[in-house]
Amino acid sequence: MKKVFLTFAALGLMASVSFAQTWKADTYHSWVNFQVMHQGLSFVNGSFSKFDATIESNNGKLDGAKLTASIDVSSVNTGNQKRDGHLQAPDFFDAAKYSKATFVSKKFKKAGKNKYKITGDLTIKGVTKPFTFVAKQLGTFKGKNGTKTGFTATGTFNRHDFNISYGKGKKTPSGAEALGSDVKLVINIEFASK
Amino acid sequence: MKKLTLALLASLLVSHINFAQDTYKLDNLHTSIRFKVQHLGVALFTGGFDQFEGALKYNPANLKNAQLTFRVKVNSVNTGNQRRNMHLQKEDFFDAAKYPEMTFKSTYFKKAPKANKILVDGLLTIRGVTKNVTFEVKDLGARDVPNFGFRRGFTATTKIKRSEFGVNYGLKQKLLGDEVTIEVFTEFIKSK
Repeated sequence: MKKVFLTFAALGLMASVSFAQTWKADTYHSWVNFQVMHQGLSFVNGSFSKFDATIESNNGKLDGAKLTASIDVSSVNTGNQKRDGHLQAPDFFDAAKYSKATFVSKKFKKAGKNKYKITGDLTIKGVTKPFTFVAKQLGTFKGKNGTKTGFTATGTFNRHDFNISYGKGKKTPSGAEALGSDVKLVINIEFASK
Repeated sequence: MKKLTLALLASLLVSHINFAQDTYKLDNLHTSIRFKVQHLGVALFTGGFDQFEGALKYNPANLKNAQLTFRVKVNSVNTGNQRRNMHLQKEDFFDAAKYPEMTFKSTYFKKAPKANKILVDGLLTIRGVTKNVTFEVKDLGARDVPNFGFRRGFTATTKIKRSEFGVNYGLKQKLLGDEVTIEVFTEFIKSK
């Protein structure tokens, strides 16, 4: 009896081990981009080149998984060095004091075919606020080095909520914001699992 | 009668002025040229170009005489990784040594059915190959920004097949998709 029980316990353990899955971001094939409206006329685009993300699933499914991500704000790149320097100053990210922006999911929910809604805590410049990504899963690729899957995830936050208030209230004569409040994140990311 | 003639002349003059094309210079600091292509069929590979020039002759009331040119320095390609940027400049991709620039020259502007949208036909040259492409352009309007000039903003997008321009790396192995989406976010400043 004891033996049977042990076997069951072992099987149970194996099952839980084999279903648990960790996906690591393949940062070489991932891009974290953002867009902010300028003078109500066009969008300034930028990206971060240093970041990391992990998805952990208890049952091998993405539905109910946990996502943690972190961005090195000093890696900001807008195609202009002077502006990138300004973005790291206290006017924007204050990178010396708050070197990382992070996201920790609370809910990772299927929201349609190949679509997920990921809600959690976004922390930028030391301020934490609830944030939602809508992620579209583009496909899965099984290669000899493991499985890859990729997403396009988007979400918008108001930068003033995170004390990134440069140019706040400054408007063009026609009433448009000199620098928009809304920041749209567009993340194209690949994850690899072994 | 004289008065009427003068009034007619004046109105003709006014309408003539209204239809004249204004000359605009590209605001490089507020312009980005980006591209997207499928990688392994699982995600989108994205990048951009950091160095380019552009010129615009434009009047929204007289679209058919508008003119746009863009020149992009191929060796300014930026994908967030130096080694890969170098690879993109090799013969596998752009062959920057032989073809240092990509260019776009508009041939025809016309209103699109959707509001605020314009279709811009033109000749796109990549790697020495010239093809007709159509950009769908959104006119985001114009504003006079004190100290920063009278400016216009646009976003533009089109899709091309890179194989048509002889950029075939990774196609057979299905590493990288053939269809490339080009996205341009731009501001132009009116010349005085």
